[in-house]
Amino acid sequence: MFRLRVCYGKIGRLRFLGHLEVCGALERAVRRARLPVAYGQGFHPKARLAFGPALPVGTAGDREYVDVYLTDHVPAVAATEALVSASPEGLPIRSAKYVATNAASVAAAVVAAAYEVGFVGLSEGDTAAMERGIEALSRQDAIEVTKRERTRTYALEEALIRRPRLATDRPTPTLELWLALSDQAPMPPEAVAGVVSSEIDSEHFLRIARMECYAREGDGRDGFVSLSGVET
Amino acid sequence: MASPVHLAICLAYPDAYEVGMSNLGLQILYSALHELEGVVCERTYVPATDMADELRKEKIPLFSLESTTPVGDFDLLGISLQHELTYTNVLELLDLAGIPLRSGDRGEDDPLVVAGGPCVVDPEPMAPFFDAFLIGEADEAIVELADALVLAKQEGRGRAERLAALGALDGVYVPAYYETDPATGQLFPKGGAPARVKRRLVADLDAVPVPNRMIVPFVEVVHDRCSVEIMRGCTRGCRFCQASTIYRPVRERSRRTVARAAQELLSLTGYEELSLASLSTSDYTQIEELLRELKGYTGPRAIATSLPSLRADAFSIELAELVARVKRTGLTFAPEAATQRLREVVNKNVTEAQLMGTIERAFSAGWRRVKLYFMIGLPTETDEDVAAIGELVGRVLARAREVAGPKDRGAVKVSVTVSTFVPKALTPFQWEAQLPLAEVGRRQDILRAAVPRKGVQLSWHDPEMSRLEGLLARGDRRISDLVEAAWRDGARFDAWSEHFVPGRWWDAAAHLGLDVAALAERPRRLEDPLPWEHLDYGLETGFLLRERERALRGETTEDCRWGECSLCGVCQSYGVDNVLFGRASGAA
Repeated sequence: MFRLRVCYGKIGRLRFLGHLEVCGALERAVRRARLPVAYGQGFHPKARLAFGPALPVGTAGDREYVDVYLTDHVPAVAATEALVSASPEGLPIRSAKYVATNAASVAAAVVAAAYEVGFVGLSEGDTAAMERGIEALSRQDAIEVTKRERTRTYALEEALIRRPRLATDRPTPTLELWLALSDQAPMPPEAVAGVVSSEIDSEHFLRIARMECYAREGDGRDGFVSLSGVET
Repeated sequence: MASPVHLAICLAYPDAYEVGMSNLGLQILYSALHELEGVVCERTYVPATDMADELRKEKIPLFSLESTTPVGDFDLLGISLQHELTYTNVLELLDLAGIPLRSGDRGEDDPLVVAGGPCVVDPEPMAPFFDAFLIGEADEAIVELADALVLAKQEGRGRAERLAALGALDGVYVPAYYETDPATGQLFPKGGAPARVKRRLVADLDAVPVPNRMIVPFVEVVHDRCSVEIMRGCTRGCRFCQASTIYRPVRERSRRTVARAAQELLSLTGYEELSLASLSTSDYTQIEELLRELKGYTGPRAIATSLPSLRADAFSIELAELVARVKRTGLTFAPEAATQRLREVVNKNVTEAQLMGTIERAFSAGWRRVKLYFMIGLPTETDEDVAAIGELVGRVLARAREVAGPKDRGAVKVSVTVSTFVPKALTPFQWEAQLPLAEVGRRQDILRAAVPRKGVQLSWHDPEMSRLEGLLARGDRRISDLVEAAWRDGARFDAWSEHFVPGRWWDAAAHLGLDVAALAERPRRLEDPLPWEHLDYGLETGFLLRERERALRGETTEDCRWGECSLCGVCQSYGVDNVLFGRASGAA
C-alpha cells in the first residue's frame, strides 16, 4: 500500500461545493487519472481517499490535502500529471508526494489553518472601524456565536493562533486569520469576521478562503509548519 | 483556432438540475451537437422557487450554465418533455428567460422554441407555447435541425423563414400551420402543411454512435451514473404502456459496441456506476454475455453495474450472480397486477411462479431488498384484484424471508409503490376511463388493509397528480389555457409533493369552464377523433383496437421478437424490423 498526499485547491465556482461533493469529485478525478487506487470492503466499496477537515459551502481552499491510497507505486511526477489532466478547473492539483503509510492522517495532523476573509462592498471609513474591531477583540477572552438557536462560546486563547491582521493593499479589504482546527467544533472564520465588523453599517458580503493547513512542527507547542512542509 | 459560431443552441430540461441531469436523452443530444462545427450547445434547468424569486427580484434573466449567457440570446431553445407534470415548469422557464410564452407573440430576436420527448405524442396541451415539436427520435433529426438553422442564419433568413426551414424537415410539427376545430379539437393543416407528421425513427441503433462524452455533475443528481443505451423499444406489448408502442420496433446495440463504449465512457468520466439503459434490460438478447465481458473492466475498479427495467420473468440465476458480483444496487420489478386474470388483460405476461422464482434467485444471490410496482384502476379491475396485491406482497415477503434465512429475516425489505392507471395516447387503453378520485381512495383502502403491516413499505403516487396527468396526457389544444392559468396562479414543480397544489388546477379549470371530471375521467368513444391523429407513429389504429378487444376478452398477445407479428404497423410503415444480435427467447 502506498500513500500519496495530494495538495489541491477548491476555487472559482467550485467554492460552492459542499464537503461531500468535493470528496466525490476528487474520487472521480482519481479514477479518471487511472491511478491504481485501493478500494474498501463491503457492499459499496469506495475508493480509499482520506480527506482533511471539511470546507463549508462558499468557502474556497487554496491548499487542501487528501491522501490517496494506491496499491502500486506510481512515480509522483507521473501521478501528479495524470491528476492534473483529470481534474476540473475548480479543483486544481497543486502537487503530490508520497508519505509514510503510518504517518498521521491529514485530519489528525492538521491543527491550525490560515484564512482570508475578503469584505466586498465596504465604504470609506469601514476599514478604520475594522481595525478598532481587531483591537477590541484582542482584549476579549471569548466570542459567542448564536446559530439556529444554539449558542457556542469560543475561548480565544485556544482558538486564535495569532492576532488577526487587516490587509488593505488588496482589491478588497481582507482580514487574515490564523485559527486552531483540531477541536471538534473549531471556531469558524465567520465568527471572528462578525465581531471585527460589528460596527460596520454598509451592506457587504464575505468571500472566505482557507489558504493553508498547518501541522505542529516537531513536538514544539508554538511552531507550525504547512502540511506540505511536513517531513514524513 | 476555434471556428466561428454559426448557431447557439440551449438544451433545457423543465425541472430541477438534479432531475434534468439524470435524463439520458439530453446527454445524447448534447454530445451529438458538440460534434458539429460552429455550433455552441449549452444547458439550462428550472431554478428552485427561491432562486427563481431572486432572479425575478434582481431582474436577472435565466441563463445557461456553461457561460451564463441569457437563454433568450440563443438561436434555438430545445426543451425535453418527459412528463406532463413538468408543463407549468416549461412556462416558468420561458418566463424566467424573458421569452414570450406564446409562439405567436415571439419576435425576430427570440429563440425558436422546440420540444421533443415522449410527451409530444400528444403535444396539443402545449402547442401554443412551442414554435415546433420534434416527433420521435432526435438522434439524427437534431443534426438536421442544426444544419437547417445554420444555413438559414447564414442566408440572413427572418424568423418565419427559419421556422419554415424547420417545418420542412421530416418529423417536425409546427402547430401554427394547423387550425383547430373548436368543437372536436381536431386539427386541419393550413397551406402546404402535411396532413400528418410522421415520427422520426432510427432504423439501426448500432449505427448511431454512443455518446463519446458525458457531463459529470459535481452535485449529487437523481441518477448519478454512466448510462449507456443498450437497446431501444420494447415489444412485450403491455397494453397500458405508451413506451411499448411509440418506440417500436426493438433495436439492440451490438454487445461489442456497448462494451467498448461503456469502457471508454467509464474511463473518461470516472463514474463508479454503469447503467445499461433500455425499456426492458433483461430482454437484451446477449445480456449475460455482455455482463461477463464488462465484469473484466468493472470488477477491478469496483464499478457497480445496474440494470434498470428488469422483468420478473427474465431474471436468471446467471444474471443474478453477474450483477451481484461487485455491488448490489436495488432490484425493482413491476408485476402491475396481482391476479393472473388481470395481468393477462393488460398483457403483462408474468406468472406468479415466475415472480416467486425470481425472488428466490435474487434473495439466494444475496439481495435483501426488492421494490415492486403495482397499478390500480386498470380496465376490468375488481375489488378482489386490488386486495390480491396485498396478498401477493405478503407471499413475496414470506418467500423472501424464507430464502434469506433466520439470521437475515429482519434485513428483508419489500417496498411497494402503487400508482393509479392513467390512460395514455397511442396505447390500446387510450379510450379507457380513468378512475375518479373517490374510487381511487376506496381501492387504496382495500389494498392497505390487505398488505402485511410489518416488513413492507407501502407508498402511493398522489392520486390528484395522476388525475392531472390524465387530464394533460389526452388533452387537446384548449387545455393549454388551463396550463397557463395554473402557472399564473403559482403552479410550478407540480411533480414535487411539496409544491403541488391541486386546488390551483381545479379552480383554474372551473374558471375556464372546463369539466375536469369529464375530461380526465371519461372514456373516449371509439368513433370520436382524437387530438393526436395528426401525428403518425406508424401504428395502425386497427392494432390498438384489436389489442383493446383482446384485453377485454383476457387474451394475451405474444412478443413479436419470438412470436408472431401482431401487425402493429410500424415495421410495414417504415420498412424496418426488430434488430436483435442474439437469439430471442421469451423467458429465462
